[in-house]
Amino acid sequence: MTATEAITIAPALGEPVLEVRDLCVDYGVGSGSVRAVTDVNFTLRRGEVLGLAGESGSGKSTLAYAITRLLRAPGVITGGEVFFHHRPVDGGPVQTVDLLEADARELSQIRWVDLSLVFQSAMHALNPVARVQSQLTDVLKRHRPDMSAADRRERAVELLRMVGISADRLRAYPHELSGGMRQRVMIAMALALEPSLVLMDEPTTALDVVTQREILEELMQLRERLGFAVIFITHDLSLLLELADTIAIMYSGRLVELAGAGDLIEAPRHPYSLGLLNSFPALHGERVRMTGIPGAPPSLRAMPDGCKFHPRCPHAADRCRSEEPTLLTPAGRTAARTVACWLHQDPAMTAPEALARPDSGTVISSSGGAVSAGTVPSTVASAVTGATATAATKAQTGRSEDISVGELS
Amino acid sequence: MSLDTAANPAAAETVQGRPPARRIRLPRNRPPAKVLVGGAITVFFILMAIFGPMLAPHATSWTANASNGVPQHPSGSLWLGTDNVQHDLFSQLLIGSRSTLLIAFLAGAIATVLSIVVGVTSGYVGGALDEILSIISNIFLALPGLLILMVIISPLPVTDKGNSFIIGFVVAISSWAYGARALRAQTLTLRNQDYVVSARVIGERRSRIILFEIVPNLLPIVAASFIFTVIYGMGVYVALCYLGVVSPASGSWGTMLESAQINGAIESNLWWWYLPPALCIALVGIGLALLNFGIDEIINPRIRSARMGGRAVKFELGLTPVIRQTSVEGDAK
Amino acid sequence: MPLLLRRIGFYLIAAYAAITLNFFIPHMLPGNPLSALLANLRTQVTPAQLAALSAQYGVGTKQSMLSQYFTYVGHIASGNLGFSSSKQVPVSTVLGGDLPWTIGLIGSATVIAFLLGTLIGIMAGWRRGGVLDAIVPVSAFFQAIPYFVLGLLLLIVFGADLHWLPLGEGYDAQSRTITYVQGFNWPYMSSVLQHWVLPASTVVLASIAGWIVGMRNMMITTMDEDYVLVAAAKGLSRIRVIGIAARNAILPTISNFTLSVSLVVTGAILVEVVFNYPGVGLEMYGAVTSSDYPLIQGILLIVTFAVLAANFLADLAYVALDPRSRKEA
Repeated sequence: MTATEAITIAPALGEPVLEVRDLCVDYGVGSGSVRAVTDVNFTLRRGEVLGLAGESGSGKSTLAYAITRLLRAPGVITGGEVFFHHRPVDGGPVQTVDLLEADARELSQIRWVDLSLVFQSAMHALNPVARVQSQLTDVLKRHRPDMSAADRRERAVELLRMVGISADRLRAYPHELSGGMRQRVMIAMALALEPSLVLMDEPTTALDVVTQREILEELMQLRERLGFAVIFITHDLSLLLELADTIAIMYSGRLVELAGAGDLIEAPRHPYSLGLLNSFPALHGERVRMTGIPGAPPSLRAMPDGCKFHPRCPHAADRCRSEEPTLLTPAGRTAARTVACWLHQDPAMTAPEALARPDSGTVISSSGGAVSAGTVPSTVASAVTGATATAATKAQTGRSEDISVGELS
Repeated sequence: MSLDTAANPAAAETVQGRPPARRIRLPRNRPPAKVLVGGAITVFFILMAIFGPMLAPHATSWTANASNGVPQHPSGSLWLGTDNVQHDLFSQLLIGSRSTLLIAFLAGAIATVLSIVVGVTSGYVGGALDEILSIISNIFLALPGLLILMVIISPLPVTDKGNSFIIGFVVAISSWAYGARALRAQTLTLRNQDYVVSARVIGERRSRIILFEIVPNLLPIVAASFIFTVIYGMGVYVALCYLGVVSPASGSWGTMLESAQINGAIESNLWWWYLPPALCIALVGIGLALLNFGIDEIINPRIRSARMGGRAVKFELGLTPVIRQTSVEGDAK
Repeated sequence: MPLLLRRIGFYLIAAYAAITLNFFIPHMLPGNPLSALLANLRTQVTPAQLAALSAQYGVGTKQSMLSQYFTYVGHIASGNLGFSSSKQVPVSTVLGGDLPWTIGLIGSATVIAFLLGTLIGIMAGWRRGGVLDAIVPVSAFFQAIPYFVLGLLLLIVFGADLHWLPLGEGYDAQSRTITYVQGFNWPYMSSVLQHWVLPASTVVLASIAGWIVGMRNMMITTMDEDYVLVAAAKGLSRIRVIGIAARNAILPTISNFTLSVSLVVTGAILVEVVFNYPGVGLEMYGAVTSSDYPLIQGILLIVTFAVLAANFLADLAYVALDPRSRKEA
């Protein structure tokens, strides 16, 4: 076991690009309304990959679309702020916009230029009656009016090449492409204006595992090259363990844990996170009894009092049934992570051993050697952005089996 | 086989633009206003058709006085006045309602039964039978029904022309194809639903599957196509009477319009002659159409007119509204 | 274009079926109507014409039904639609004069209804919960009234009561002050236009509801699609987003149009009767009144062919607009 003293590692990923404060989202207005997202807080830094994980209906997609004001009716944002920090095209200082207060004009100037999306199903996200070329160039026409038609076409060819599609596909229609190609086109489309933040809503769920792997690898390479931040929404936690720098776990519309990927796998704090991690079997190694998480998530209309997870939590106490915990740094810890659980915030309660493992303060550089904290050279910092949590896990917990593919829902 | 199913099965067949229905859940609260208003109007006229001839003050052949050739204005005793041969128009209206509505509903019923038989069989059995039936129904759709009816009915002997059932049957023949198409499309969708597939795997008899699994989910479309066919049937029948192709002995609204037209009532501004039957026809049509739209909205709640909350919040794509509420979150028990 | 070929094949079959029906119906009806028909006409037509009609219907000839049938089909294929007993000229001549009026009326009214209807439908679908949602019950009103009843009402209000527009005819043929010469001169054309307004408005009003509601519903369904959200997410202007949605929503609307063509045509024909408009409809009315059976049959065939042709045009439009239909899935 390598050194695991409580060292604070906050990889300098860059200044914040997105700050979400106390965001609340409802469905419906008035008496029939239902709260879908409650008091979500997090900060996303330039170049960071944030994985947003949760079961179906946990509110992760709602959260993502609400942030961008693209939530469909009857969604209504009922509180909070979303600060987006973007650099104007022509250089100049960083500007901050509260996306919730912006009007249509401001939003349309930011959209796709700084903030783009990749959807789950490319078959449905691509306009079936428009050719690939026009779907790539329409954003160029809109946001870069100084580009000529020839320039736009050239850029489209470049974008396709970037994702590994030959230029003769420019004139094709979406239904003439294979599933993997369509997804690549979507990615190329999303990166057309080199945004600083890309929201990906389960971008590989609809694909077979082989294509999934290819596309994710390409995605991460592109991310390293272009340096954009990613919010990666999925119900497949295992993907995040390899891709994400930070993982946020959502349950019933609330963030219940927010931690670095390595920390989360190595030392989960929230009972739900532990349950999720224990939910998928390993491909190799001895057979373990699967525990899963008994029960089901509560309906949005009939939420329990106190902590929303307490009916399913093996460690629930009286306080959990009446008071809802907020997302705070666990007492006595210094790592940059938060959790919403009384086990870690109430001095009267002690967390069980499984939820009290020491934080992995060690950072693995790309060469494989451990680096002690305190000095974080910039080269390591940039390597950390692509660091695989798998490697960290392997080295530190001694688990020899790979993390295999598992699903939450 | 229309273009849209060939090219894009997901876009699916529609009756009047309605997407295919999933397992239907009826609304628990009260039905939309359209259904109530439409239903009320329809029921009113059905009652008129049933009881009208009994309540009519005079027989159709009754004349106010035998000699005067000038139509009379409405008055206290003759609510709608008379036509040029002194028939009581109010009575004619009431009596004529029966044949008009009877044939409309009869045609609707027969056409609906035909469309269910053809559509469901075609959709469920598939294969060559489906192809043949589809071609037949497409042919019927493409041919102009009214004209075919004129070709069929004109040379018929007079007794047959007056027989409501024959006329109703013939009208039904020209209108079953619409419903058959929609039902076929919906049957195709339902056929591949899990609960039907499992029934087939278990080995349930085909007729049982059709009757108990598929037909219940077709009821909304059946209802809607029935209403549509009734509207259409009434229109066709009124047209046939108006053109003089059919002359029922007891008269009908269409016949009233015909005699009004022939005798130049419009130019002479004898509004009490042509306006009441025209308005009644229009009202029955409106009532049925409102019912139809209402059923549409029950099946597909998305197309309901959205009035959310007290003040209608404007939802626009790409601009999620931000309404900051001061109250506590609404999910408390 | 395998799809288009299938459609053409279908139209040929349908046309053939119409011809066949047309032939067999009079022979299948009870009471031997043809003999009765010809007996009635004995007083109206010359013996030569009577012989021609008998030959046309195969009454009294020694030909078998089958060979009569093939003769009939042959006649139709060469444009011989028979002989009109009331007008004493071939049916094709009669219809040749009527068709331009009818096609002009229905064609122009359909184009207007399509353009206006889809535009209103698009706006109603985009702005849900707005004022335009009231369009739905209003459309119900117009859609449910038989075309010609609507025409009657319009005629009553605008023609008889308000005297804004003429009471009928294609143009002012009975004017005592001006003599109209048919052709492309302004007095004639303006008179035609004046007389066109009411019948065309009737057809437009009666058929526009279908376009509006159909387009509205399809817009609402289409706006749920991801690619419309992507268009909004791309920061494209509102018009462009609506355009993308509308461009996709219009496809099922067009294919639904093919269902309603025969209804529109039938309705418009009746409208002609109301307005004494000199088209096929009025001709039909006269034919019924004078029991001119050959003319009735001829009109049926011509109208059927026109409906099939209109369907085919709609199919062409659909294939042009939807790239997915060009490849057999």
